[in-house]
Amino acid sequence: MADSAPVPAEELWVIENPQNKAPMQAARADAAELPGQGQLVARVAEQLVPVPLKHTDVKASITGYIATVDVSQQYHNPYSEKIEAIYVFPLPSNAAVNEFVMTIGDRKIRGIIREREEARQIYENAKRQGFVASLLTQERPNVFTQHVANIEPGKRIDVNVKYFHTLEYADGAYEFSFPMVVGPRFNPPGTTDGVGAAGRGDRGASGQKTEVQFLKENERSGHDIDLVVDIDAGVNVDEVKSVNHRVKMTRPQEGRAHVALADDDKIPNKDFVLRYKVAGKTVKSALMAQRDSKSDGGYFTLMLFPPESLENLPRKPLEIVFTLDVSGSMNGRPIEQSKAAVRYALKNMRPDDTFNVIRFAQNAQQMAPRAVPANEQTIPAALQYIEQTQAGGGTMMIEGIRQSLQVTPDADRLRFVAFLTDGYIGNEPEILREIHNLRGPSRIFSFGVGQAPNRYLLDHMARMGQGCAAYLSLNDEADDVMAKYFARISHPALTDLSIDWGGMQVRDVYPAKLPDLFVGRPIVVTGRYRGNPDNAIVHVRGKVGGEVREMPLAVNVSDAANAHAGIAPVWARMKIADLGDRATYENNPELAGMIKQTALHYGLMSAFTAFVAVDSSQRTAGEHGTTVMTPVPVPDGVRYDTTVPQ
Amino acid sequence: MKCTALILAFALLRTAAAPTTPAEPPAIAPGVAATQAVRFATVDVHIDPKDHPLAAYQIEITGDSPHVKLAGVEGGEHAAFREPPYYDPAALNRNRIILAALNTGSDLPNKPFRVARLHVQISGGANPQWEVKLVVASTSDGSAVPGATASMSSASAATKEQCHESTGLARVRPLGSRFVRRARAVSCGMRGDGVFGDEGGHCRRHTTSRRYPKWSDVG
Repeated sequence: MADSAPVPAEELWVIENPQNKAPMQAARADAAELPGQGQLVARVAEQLVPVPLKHTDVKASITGYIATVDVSQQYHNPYSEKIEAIYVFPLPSNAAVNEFVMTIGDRKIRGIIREREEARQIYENAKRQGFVASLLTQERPNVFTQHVANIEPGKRIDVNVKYFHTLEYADGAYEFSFPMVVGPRFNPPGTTDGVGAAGRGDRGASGQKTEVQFLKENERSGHDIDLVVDIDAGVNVDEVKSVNHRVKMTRPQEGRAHVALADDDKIPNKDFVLRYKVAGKTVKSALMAQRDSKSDGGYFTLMLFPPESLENLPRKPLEIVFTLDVSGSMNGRPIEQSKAAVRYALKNMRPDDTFNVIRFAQNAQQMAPRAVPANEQTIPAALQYIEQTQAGGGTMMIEGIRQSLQVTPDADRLRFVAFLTDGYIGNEPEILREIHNLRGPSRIFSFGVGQAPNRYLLDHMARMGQGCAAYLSLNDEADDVMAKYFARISHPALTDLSIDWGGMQVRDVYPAKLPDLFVGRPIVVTGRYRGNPDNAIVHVRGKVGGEVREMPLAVNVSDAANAHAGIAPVWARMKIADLGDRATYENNPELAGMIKQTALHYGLMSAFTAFVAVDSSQRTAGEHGTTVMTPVPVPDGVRYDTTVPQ
Repeated sequence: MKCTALILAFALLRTAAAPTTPAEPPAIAPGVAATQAVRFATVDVHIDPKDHPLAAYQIEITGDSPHVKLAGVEGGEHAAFREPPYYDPAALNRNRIILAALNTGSDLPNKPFRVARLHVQISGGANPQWEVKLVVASTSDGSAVPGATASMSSASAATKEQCHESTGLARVRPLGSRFVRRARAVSCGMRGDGVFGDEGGHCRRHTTSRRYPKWSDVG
């Protein structure tokens, strides 16, 4: 359970519907109170807040390590004229979004997957002609935009999105997360295709292709969220913990848990993170499969755990670089959490280790010109350097990346870069490309700091950097998170992984390049198989130091207990992610086409596809009305004044 | 037994509506220039279960024009099939619409009814020709509905069936055996202005035979 937080009991909400309903003017980009008169508004401390998105309802069910999530967004029109509602929102970056349904009254219209531009054209045509329509596009793997056109006054339109994804597993616990808000992001000068931040009503102020409007700290939109998670683990579930939210939990039977947001914690301004453990060793290297009736085979996912023997092996001396994001979005509690984590790490280094500290905001600075030995002189100096750090300014992450990676490697030590950031930048492809180009012998361990970090960036930084991502919520104990990190890097990884599939005829395995296996961090591998390879023995091989290790695994694709209808979309999503990573650093014009074709074939959202739904049974009257962006709160713990351009 | 058969039937339908697995994804049909005039229309899809309670169906619809684009699929008018049916995205990528739905309840339709409504965008002056094929129509015990038919009609002329001679047939052999399902279908030409026009359409009958996977494969 999250720590008890103060309840905003003193807020007074006045809902009013003015009598004076004059016609609206055309959309004004600079209007602070779009779309005009006749609005049903929430008034908080004299601030009038448009609320085109009323409510979000999330229902998740977890079977094994795969989550099925239904997200329902309720749009309504509180104004006297028609509106188009736009909402930029996050989903998990590995979400395989394959269903989209628009609900008008009691009628449901299933959206159609299309090439992105084609879908946009259909939507614009429908919008222009007065038909109710909706369009879902992907701006980043974890950032989506929902458009809903021709919402008539007083009417409500729901949009339902369904997706599958694999859960994270770290240090003995599964982790389910649902992001609720896109944080305010910084874009380097000259960038126009990023994800930008603007104040409410300042449409276009960020100059970015995708823009999120933020409410000031004394404003509320009235948009709230309900979320329930049903866990069906099949074995005993232990230590269920919500990291950031207060929750209500029931245990209907052994192996099951029902978790729901508490009534007093429904503002969507932080990630919902649920961690739980399952009993025994039943989670070890679990295979889940889905048969494909149209071919002689199917799809599978395999969660591959590291061999326990790794935990008995000592590590080599390390060179650790602590790279801290000290930009404006980290101001306040996030930077304090980062400092606490680095303090713990510095105090737990060995005398034969070396380290350095780099901090970046508008530019990057390093504590010492090169890594220094961890001793009685350098560690206090580093602690002082950390304490003096203040957060503010832009986030030129590329500078931090370069200073962290452009070094002469120390042949006697393993080099790790611990990157602590909220990830609030809009130029992710540039960052990932730079990591790919400069990584050398370094491994990157990213730490997502705060209540709503950019998990796509952090996960993929670690993936590109042959390391692992971890998350440091403001409710986490920084020492605990760092202790787990040290436990991980205190033992060698199983490198150069390969899988001998034995009797299984396997193809199209993703990730195409298998990452290294670290203590406490399994990986998920997915692929397609042929035949009916029951009771096959799979051999996982890797190297520890120079020595080859091998793990045999028995797999049974016909085991009904491990069947899941979401495996095919999960496989396709992982293929798209793999191709997407390649596209960040590989100048291969065919990659975009491969992503698009995979997404169309499996009916999935991607950067090149979109869902569109049109109700062509009736036209609404008049022009399509004003476009209303849905403003969102800045994430919990983030300051508006240091992140949203004024 | 009844429940198992129904679940198997549903699995077939869901997997039919799930992507097929060609070696290489097919090419995308050429798009239509954005500048062309477009209009939106609805097309209704009907099934006549011939007095048998319909629990599941799969329908394949093909159009002859790249200027018609599916923009939404709505459910039917009977409560059992009010949820929008699933479609096969891979088939859509090849300009075919495969719809499938299932209901495990007891209140099932046995008279002609609308099972789905298609929302489409039509570019320019296209007069789309449609062909509808009832691939599967089954009762709750998984057996085929004898003589079931499918047809399509313009929703704007909702009371006027465009294809009166629509017939479809889906025969299914016992579970676990390979079978050849025969399907007779009609094609419905709906032309003219407005939705798909008041000028009526024409129907042509044809028969196809395809080899399908074993039922046991879908379990």
